[in-house]
Amino acid sequence: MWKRTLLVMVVLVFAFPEVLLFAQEFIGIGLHGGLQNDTGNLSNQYRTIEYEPQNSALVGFSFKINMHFIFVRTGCDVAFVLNKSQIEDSTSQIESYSLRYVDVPGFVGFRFPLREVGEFYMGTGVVYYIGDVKYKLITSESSSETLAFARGWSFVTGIEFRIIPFARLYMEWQYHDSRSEAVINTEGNTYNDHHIDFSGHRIFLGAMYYII
Amino acid sequence: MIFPLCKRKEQVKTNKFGVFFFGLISFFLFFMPKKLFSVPLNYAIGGYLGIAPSLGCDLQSMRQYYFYNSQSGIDGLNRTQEGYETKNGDRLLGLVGGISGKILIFENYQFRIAFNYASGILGGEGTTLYGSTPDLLEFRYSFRTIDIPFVFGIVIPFWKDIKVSFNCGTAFAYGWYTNSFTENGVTTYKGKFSGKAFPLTILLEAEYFITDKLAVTSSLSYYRGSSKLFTDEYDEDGDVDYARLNFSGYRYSIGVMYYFLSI
Repeated sequence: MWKRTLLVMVVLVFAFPEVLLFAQEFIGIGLHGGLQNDTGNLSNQYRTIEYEPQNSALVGFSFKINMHFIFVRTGCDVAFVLNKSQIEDSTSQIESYSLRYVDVPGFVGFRFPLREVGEFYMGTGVVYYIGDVKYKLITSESSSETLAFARGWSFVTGIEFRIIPFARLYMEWQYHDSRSEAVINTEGNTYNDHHIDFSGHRIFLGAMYYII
Repeated sequence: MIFPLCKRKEQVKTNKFGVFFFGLISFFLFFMPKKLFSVPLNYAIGGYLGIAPSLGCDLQSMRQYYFYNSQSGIDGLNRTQEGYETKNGDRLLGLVGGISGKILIFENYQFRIAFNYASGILGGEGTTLYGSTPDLLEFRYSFRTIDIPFVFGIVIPFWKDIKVSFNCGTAFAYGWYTNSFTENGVTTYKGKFSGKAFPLTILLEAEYFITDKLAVTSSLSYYRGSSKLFTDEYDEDGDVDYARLNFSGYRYSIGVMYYFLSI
């Protein structure tokens, strides 16, 4: 899929070559931090349980190409655990749960430049995840750890505000929709029955420097 | 254990607010003459294409809950074990297309109506395990929907270049949902459901004007709502399933919009 994403980026660049000549603030590199609530989305798998949701802090960088009214954006985010999920329910097989992950999104969408003020942008794309899950089952005396991989779909909407020439602050909202295959055996069956859910809302605040 | 769908059946009632809003917007769009307003009006029509991840949400039904022990439809159905050839089933990725028309009042307010069609094009099928043995289970889903959203929005123009609007309202949605479960490659149970609902609708839309009448658009919408509980319409398998049609989810679209008067 990443080959397709790269191909789309190359095609877009060559489809609008004249734009490159006129565009200022064409290629940007950004750093950002963000937050996510209910990481792991446990209530989606176990509809009846009561639990304290996990909160995560995200740190990452972005790489953005602006072309007239189109943008392409990729980057990488790392999610750290602020507090792990504690399940307060005797019907659950899981006692505690925490998810760390790295994601690599690829967005394409429309940007709406607000002259010298900044811009508004909306896009969609594909995201890849590598997740590291630490969990403790009620029936187990110690915690276990496992890896999960997934691909998902996502949306991004944000605003960039120019602070000085070639540098902008940005704030954005992302929604991801993705689940891995089942990787944890929670019910004592012979098979794994619990998947890792990367879905959810994320908010980011960052700064972007346009090198071209 | 109480089956949640049965519980929901009692809770789901006709969305009277939705019907009222639907009627109110219809009145404004079609019966309110321009002279009555005596205010600047503009009209626009457009078309768009987009994607809708998780079309049909988790596609839950009674059979999955009771017989395959999944609390979360297709998500909870996925299981793996070494030595078994399973295939992960993703939620449906929908392709959305539609046309829209809108009336702008004072350049800052708008009524928008649209006609959308969405159909699942990726995901929705896989092979999993169930039972204590375990046994193999192949599953397959499809979900299609048409909807007519009516929304009222506030528009913020930025010079003559860009308009950004935030809209809220409701939609008349009608959907078709099918599922199929084949146990050990032998016995197949199928379900078929169709029906309507009035999901609440939120729409964030931005327009970039290429000329003074033509704009490219980008929009993000969120639908929230599901139908009442339906009984399976497929009788040939001798089994009865129950399910709701869940229209909740996000959609992202890009398209063009033509304004009849210069902005």
